[in-house]
Amino acid sequence: MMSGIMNKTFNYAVDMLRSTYGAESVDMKTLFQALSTFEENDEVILKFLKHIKTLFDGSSLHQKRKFLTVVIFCSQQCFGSDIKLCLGGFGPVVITYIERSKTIWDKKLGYLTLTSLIESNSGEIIYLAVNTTLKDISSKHSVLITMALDVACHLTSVDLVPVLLPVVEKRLTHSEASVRSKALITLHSMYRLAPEFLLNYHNHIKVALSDRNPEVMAASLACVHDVVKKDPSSHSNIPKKLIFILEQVVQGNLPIAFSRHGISAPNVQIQILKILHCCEIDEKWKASLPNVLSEMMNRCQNNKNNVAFAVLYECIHTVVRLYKPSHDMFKSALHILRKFLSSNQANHLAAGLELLTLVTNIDISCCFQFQNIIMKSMEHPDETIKKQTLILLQALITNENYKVICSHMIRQLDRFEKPFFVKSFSEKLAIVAEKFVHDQGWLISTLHSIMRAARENVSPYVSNRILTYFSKASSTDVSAELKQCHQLLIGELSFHHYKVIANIIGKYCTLEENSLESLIDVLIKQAHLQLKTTNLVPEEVAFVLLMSLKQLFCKVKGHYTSVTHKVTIALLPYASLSSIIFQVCY
Amino acid sequence: MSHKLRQIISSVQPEGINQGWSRKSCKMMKFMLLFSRQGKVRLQKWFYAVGDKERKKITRELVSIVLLRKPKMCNFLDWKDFKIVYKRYASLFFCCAVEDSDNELLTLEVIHRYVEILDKYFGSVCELDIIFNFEKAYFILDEFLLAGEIQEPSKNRVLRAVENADALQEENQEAEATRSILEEFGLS
Repeated sequence: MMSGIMNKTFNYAVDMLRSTYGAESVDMKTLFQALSTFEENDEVILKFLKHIKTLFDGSSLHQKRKFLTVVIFCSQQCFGSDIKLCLGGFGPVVITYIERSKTIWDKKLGYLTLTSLIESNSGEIIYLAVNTTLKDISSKHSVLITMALDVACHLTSVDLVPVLLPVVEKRLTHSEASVRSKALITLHSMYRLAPEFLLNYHNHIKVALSDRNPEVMAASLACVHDVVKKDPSSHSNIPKKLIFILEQVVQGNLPIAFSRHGISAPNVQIQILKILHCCEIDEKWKASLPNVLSEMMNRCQNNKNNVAFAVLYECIHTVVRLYKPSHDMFKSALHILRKFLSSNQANHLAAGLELLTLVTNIDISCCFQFQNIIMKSMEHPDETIKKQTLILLQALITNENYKVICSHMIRQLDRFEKPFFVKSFSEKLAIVAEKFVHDQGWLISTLHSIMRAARENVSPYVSNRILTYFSKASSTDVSAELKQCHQLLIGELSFHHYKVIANIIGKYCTLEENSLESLIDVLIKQAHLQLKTTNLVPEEVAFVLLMSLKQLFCKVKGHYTSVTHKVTIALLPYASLSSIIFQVCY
Repeated sequence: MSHKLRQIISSVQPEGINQGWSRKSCKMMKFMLLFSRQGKVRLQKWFYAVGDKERKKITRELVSIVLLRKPKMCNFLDWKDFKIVYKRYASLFFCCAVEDSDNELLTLEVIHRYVEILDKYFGSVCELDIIFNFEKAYFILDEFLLAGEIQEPSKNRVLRAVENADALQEENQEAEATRSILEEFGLS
């Protein structure tokens, strides 16, 4: 039921739609303010949309434009399923509007409404839109063709590919470059859906790559990328062609309109380098690349703009991939890497650290010249940079420095808060530490430290590995580890860590009765501390404690009346644990 | 360096690094969001199929993450399977999600280019222009990014394509109608 205020706002919004006077922007401003009032009330918006639908056919062109803008607005807002269904019902209405449109603007608005409806509610609308789209793709007017091709990209259904394909392929030879490039992109989106239908795809791409217009050539690069990635071996002639195009672009042979801040078509340059990453390496084309790469690096390195750094980033990637550390290109790449790392912009530093990790994976000695920068980045206030530094440290671990680096990484991990990152990084850190399994004492204490640093967000992998190593450890190692567990229980622990330690004590403890008593004492005290944490369920904590003690008492016989007494006192303040207390006493 | 050590180091797969030698087939961009400092989404464009509930969830999470970032921080962050590249222009945040293997600096450039085109079209663009003319912002985005790939390197062509649509083409339609009548009578 709508409240009184909602009712008034709804009626006002409806009147606004009906009104034909006043400046359009004033009307729409009030209308959207009205709509945003309804945002939390799906029922009102549903009623509003149904009302628009009934009014649509009988309204003027000006009002229809407003209605369509409202439909676009609503379809972008991710409302509930009822509203989605109602919006889906607008499909035939919008298609009729498109077909009857006399102006380009109305057609464009109609198509935009259609694509918004398809994005929010794909269903049957895509099948209703096919005929109109086909008709407009076959039109003589290039603006209409480009509009219809935009929509064709959204008609994402495998059934429609054979229907649209012949018409779109015909447009690949249109006289206008914008039509050719959009037709190519539409073809590419169809290839991603259903490659088996596109028999002549490779020929079309080859023709587009050699197109006289740079716009079409640029559009073909995304297609080439996918094709080469799929099957690098059968496109061995592509790298040579791409390097030739790259040379032309770098030397500035494209029209000035394709330049960005002094760099000619940076997107094309970057795309070509990415495609070369996927190609099969051949010494012939590899030999022709250094000149082009040097030229690219020379032109970009004095340019302070972000786009120049983007191109340099990709150049360094390519060099590191293709050339050995002893090659001159590798040395030039390191020189440019210093530019990234010493930039005062956080973005360049983050990108530089990423590249340095890549370089370190190839040749660890390259990292030594950047030691100061790495040390500074570890203390950087930005989390992204700290994270990138941690990843770099992982790559720097060797048999000589693993203890130092791991302890440093654990200290850094302690400062992170994002659960997703902490979980994944704790797991990676554990995997790296396990490479040095020969030093088992150090490994188990490191895994404990990771659990402490990661707190509640620790990966389950870490706790599983601790238990696995305990199960394989000798009795002398176990007693040493139990001393460590004793120490840990005295301090602050996350519940997850407490569970693991309680499990270890229960399963693997082989101490004498005298030493065991102090261990059990701290176990119970820690349970008491855990219970004080408000977000924990008391039953869970009690269960962990009792399971551990039960397993222990099965192995080690003795009189544990004092233990029972202590457990009861620890659990007594919690009324929900009264049944458990009775079990303990029993 | 020994062969075994090289194996140890090369077996470590750093997160967020281009797993360059086996990149998946992917679109450059997964989605683009524009939202205000109050967290109101002004524009959203999704380049891959995702349900409404998931969209809402992603939007809500990302908006809260990006709004917490301080001004001088890096414009890139890792979030789930994506890299998020965002930039603040006045009261609006432009936020894009790209694949792990994509060039973040290029994505930043793509965002900047979109803003430049909006600015040239609207003339000193502000958030209000995008709120009340969001359909025009979508038109420009469609000319600039199609199916998740950058399609138009030339700024002027984008503007011309959008301005063409703005002009009411009734005269053209009339001229065509006249021409077709003349053709029917064999007088063209």
